[in-house]
Amino acid sequence: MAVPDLPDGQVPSSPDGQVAPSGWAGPRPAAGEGAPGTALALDVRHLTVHYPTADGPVVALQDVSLALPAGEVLAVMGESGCGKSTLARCILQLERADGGTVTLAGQRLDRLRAEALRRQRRHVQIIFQDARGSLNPRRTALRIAREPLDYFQIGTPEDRTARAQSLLEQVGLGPDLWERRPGTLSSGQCQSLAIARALAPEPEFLVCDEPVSALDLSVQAQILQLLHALQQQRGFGMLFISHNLAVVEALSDRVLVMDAGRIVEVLELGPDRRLATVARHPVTRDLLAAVPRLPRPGPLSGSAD
Amino acid sequence: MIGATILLAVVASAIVAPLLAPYDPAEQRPRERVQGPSRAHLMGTDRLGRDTFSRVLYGGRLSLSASAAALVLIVALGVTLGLAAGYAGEWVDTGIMRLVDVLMAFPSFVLALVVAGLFGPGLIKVTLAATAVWWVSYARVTRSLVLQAKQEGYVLAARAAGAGPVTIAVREVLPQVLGPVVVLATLDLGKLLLALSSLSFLGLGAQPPTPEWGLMLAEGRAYFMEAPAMMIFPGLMIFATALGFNLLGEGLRDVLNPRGGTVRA
Repeated sequence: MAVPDLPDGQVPSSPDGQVAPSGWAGPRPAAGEGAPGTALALDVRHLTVHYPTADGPVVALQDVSLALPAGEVLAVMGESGCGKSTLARCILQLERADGGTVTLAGQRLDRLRAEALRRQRRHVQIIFQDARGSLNPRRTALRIAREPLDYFQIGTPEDRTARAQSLLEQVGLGPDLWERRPGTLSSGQCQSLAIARALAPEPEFLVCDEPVSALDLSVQAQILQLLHALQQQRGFGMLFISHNLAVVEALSDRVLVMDAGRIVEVLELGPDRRLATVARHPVTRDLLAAVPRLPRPGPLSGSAD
Repeated sequence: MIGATILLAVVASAIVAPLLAPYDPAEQRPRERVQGPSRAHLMGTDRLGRDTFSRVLYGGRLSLSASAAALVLIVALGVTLGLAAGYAGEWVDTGIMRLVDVLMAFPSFVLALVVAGLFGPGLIKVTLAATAVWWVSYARVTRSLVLQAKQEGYVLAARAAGAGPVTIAVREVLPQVLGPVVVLATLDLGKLLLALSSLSFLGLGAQPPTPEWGLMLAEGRAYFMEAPAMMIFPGLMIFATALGFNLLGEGLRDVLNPRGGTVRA
């Protein structure tokens, strides 16, 4: 089913939690005027990616469409290799899709030239699964957190340092860690540092590509609490990618389930943070059956202001 | 350690040549020509009666500085083009790598000989000729290292964080490349010294009466039977210096690459 083009900022009608053949997964119906979910932050349509192989092209994404209003947390769930990370990289245009569009606040990211795209990245940031690998091992924590501010020329050099220090404090990295390099930080501290870096330019939209899957359970809970608190406090939209339903339930408002490069189901979460939709697709049922539950994260203790 | 000690001795002797040399390297003493080593002339004299020891000391200045200058130019050109090819990809990569393929189809010394022949004789021209053909191995190594470094998570993260292509290439990728390039350069410096000395030996490099090791070898060749010292001492200096650079390069490779891998052009 083709999705009609809409004027910038206009929210397309929601298919009410049922996935349409095209994979369209629009925003939840807004409760009223000015309610969360009315401003369209991100609009992805008909995204298609193929990877060439010796045996012919392999489909990584097939006609994937989604819309995410500002401030909403949308989860993308699926088994390994289903195209979640490709979707994340395509949204940020770190990888160019073979077809489809990515629109952020009315700007077609897929059409932008390199410099214009670089400037737009201020509004959409990403947290990678391999936090340590995403941090330059030669840089100090403070410098890493400050880098996006330098790249986007935000504020004076003194302001940037102060802002980076404040962010590091907010994610729980105190002054004793500011001059440390990633190799001397724990996995959880590295992920906290990656979160600080991603939030430094104050993005309206954050893509989290399995940010806790490489962490042990106790650290997972800490990072989820941190992300939840920061999202509540700053109100950025978040696309949260995971293969773990327990993690996804803890943070998101809606869940898209992917399989073999397609969105196969959209699940709604109820007020109790449990699934309000009955899973129909076999992949969704497998995912639901496969994982233990995590407690809903509480408010971030102390540091976030 | 041995390599560093040899090089330290050679470089120090070249630097303090004016203090150590007992004679002016260009001063001719017709009555003392073609002599063997003696107390007055530690390494003998050449066909014009010039003191070989003094000329060897001063020759080190020229040979070492020409090799170092050539290496700086070669590394700068090779790394820049390799970085551009690896990072920019597409037509930039294709263009640069096809040029590399063409240049690598010929033995580098033979090609340097041809280019030097086209430029004409002179140490600076020979240095430029060596640069024109020697950069290719650096471009290849740099390109492959850049392609590897581009896959690092933090390079992708830097792109996402708003870094531009030049910033990423210089600040994120280049530091990854420099370690192996320094090892390669140290290993190459010995080869380069030999190549430049060989070109001078063939009459394309330094011209008389300049004291330069390769040229001194060429000048001593005709007198090898009567005064072998004329060839032996400049030859020994070239040998010792090349050996020093090789030993130092291998030591650096072991230090900078603890996993035991090797850097190959």
